[in-house]
Amino acid sequence: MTKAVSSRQTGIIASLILFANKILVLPSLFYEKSKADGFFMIAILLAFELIMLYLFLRVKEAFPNDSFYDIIKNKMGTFAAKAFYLILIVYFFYKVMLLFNIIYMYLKVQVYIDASYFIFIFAFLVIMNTSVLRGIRPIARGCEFFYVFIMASLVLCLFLSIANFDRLPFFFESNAKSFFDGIFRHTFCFGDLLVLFVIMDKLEVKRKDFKRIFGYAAFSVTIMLIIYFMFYSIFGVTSFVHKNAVSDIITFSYRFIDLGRLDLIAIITIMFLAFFQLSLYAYAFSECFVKIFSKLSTAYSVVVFDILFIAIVLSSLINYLVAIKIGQEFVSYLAILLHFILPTIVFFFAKKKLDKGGEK
Amino acid sequence: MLFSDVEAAVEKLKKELNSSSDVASRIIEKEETKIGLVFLKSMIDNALFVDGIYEPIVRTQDKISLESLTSNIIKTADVSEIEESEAADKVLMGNVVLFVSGENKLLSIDIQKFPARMPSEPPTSAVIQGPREGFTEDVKTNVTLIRRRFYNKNLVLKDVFVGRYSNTRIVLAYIKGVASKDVVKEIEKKLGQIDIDGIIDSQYIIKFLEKNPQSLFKQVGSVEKPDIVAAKMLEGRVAIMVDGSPIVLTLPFIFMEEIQSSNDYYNSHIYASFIRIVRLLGIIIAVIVPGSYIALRVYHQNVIPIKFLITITNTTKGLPFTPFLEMLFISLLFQILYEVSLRLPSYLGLATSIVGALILGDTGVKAGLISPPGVIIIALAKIALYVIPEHAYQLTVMQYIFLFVGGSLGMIGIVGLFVYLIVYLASIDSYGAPYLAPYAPRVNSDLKDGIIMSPIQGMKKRPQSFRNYNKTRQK
Repeated sequence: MTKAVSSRQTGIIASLILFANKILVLPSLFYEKSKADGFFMIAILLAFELIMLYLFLRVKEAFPNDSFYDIIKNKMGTFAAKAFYLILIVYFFYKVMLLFNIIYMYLKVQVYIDASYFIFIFAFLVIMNTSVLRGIRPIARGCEFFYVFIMASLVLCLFLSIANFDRLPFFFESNAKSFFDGIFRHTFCFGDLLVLFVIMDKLEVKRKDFKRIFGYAAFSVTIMLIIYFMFYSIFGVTSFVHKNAVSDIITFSYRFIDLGRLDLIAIITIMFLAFFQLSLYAYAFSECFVKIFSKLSTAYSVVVFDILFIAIVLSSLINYLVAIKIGQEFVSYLAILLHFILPTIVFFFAKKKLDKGGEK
Repeated sequence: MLFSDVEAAVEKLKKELNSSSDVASRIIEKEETKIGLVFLKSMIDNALFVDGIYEPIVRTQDKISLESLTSNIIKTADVSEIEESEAADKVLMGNVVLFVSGENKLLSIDIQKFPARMPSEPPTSAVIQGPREGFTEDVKTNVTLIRRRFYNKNLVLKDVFVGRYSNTRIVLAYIKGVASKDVVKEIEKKLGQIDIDGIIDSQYIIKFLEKNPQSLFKQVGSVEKPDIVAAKMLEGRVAIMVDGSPIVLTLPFIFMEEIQSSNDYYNSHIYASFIRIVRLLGIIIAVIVPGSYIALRVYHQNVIPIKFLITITNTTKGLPFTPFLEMLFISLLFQILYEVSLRLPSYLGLATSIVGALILGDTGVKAGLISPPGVIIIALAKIALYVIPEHAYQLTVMQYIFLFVGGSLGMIGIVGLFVYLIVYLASIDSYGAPYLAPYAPRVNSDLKDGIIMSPIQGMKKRPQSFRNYNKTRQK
């Protein structure tokens, strides 16, 4: 049977999800911790993302038809599987809240100065619900449809930012403690490829496709590294003030003033990215929910998601600042478990299986 | 049953046909043998009836039997033996049914003829270069138009009759060995499941063939020209011809077909690619521009370049309507004018255009009810709807939805709706063909006939986006 998502679409999902909440507020947060050395922080954290992708591909190679849940269940027992998936539900919901708040703040400041909160709740919720109910295949195809446009727009943003570039950033100004503390505290913005683990049984990925998938992810990593480099170069010591990196690097250019606000390109691209990333997180949430409560359908997961989302957003329990604070002080610890320990454990199971297969 | 009393059998059949005023009969007596003829005056070729059936029977010296009638006497091509139970249906289809005393079977002679127009160029599919034939309402003519493009035994035509009262003839056409058997079976099954009183036009059966009949987007191709249908059949599609309709349906159907036109294949591929980009732009302008304009005016005035903003502000100053209502008003005005001009005779249509477009539009602007940018935006969007005239109605609905969403949610609504639309379209499949192929999912070989078109000699494979056999088209 053909799986729902092709290898090309898997690569595209990996590529797009990597941008999640990393190209707006994160560069300035990094700068607050360790100045322009934030560039090295992102480089290290993105390297971990690629390692996670490698682990995923090896796990997929060893267990081509199994779901992530089944692998954990078979190797560690049902309780462990349910426990991990419960944590993943919380984790993906947090990711939704974090990204939603970041995007809300970004759009509010840039183009929706007097707009109501409900516009954003309605717009994002409708898309997330529809996507989850329609399944991963339409989401993957949607990502595929817009991929070239999104990447071309980001490259165009980088190209336009050259007009503002006039000096190299000053590196090595931070100390090791703040540097590594910064890395640890901001791991909550990473680990997005966990989505791939959760949907792995729906992906059609063969060993020959590994390079291609890696290529897509590497392309995104390269673009992000250039964005960070340009950001620290353009804004220098004022980097911590600029909370919307990819937009700001093209905003303040007097050379293109007659063309109007060029950051509209970034704004629209971010909107597209946000819709797909939120849909993928919501889908991952739903997948985890259905695995834990196997008697309930996807529709139930959507209802639960909506109730939680609306309740938390309307009660302002998690707003922009709270989401980042929770991330720095709590989710970073959770990230060690989910980003490093869990994939590594499953990778060893996979390796064992692959080694056994090799001996035969 | 042997027909000893031909008169009684003829009367029985006429009674079965409710003695309608156009049911006619003739009794010919030849020595011991009686021959009864029953037919519909309104459905047969009178000249052929006289020259090919009546006269030869009257003048023949041969002994009359079903065999001699079939082999020697009757001078028409399509003669077959039938049971008495089939007689009424045959008469209704324009056949002459012939009883011979002493025989237990009947003859059915097809000399159907009714007023039908000649194949002409369809108004919505005009070409600068290329064939100008179009389908007609007569399915027999349409079958001929297809058949003469394939001098090959692998062209298969299958008849299906649908409609409790209309008993409409539907002809399935496909190329054996190219079209997928599964697709053909699936279509036959769907047609067989239709239980309706009558089929008046091919558009009636579209909804029965679609997998998402509630959808705004059509999932069945509709074509008015035989050259296009032939090209689609060569790609592995199945054509469905409905008697009484000049529109032939094709399946499977993908969205990309809406962008393609027969003109593209009769021109340079470079020019065709350019025109396809223009069509795509036309669709985007038609659907998104009015909604985006409202979104910019209502929510995002700060992103409009300052010179444009000054112009818009000056021209919209003092308008009694909100931007959304203003655009809705202009849009509805255009829609009303369009509907009126469609139904009025052409000599009145011109007057309506002048009153509507010039007087109402111009006076509306001068009176300060509507703004010039609003008129320009709507005019542009409404003209752009007709880059693909046969799909203008879908685009019109989408235009209003985007207008509403742009006015209420701004840019995030426009982008969100666009994403929703693509995710929704990506979930549709038409008989195994992903609706957004070859772009989502990407099918590299089919991109040669995508927005950017390759020369014909570059398209060596049949489309891979849907099920078909014999993948190689040329070597």
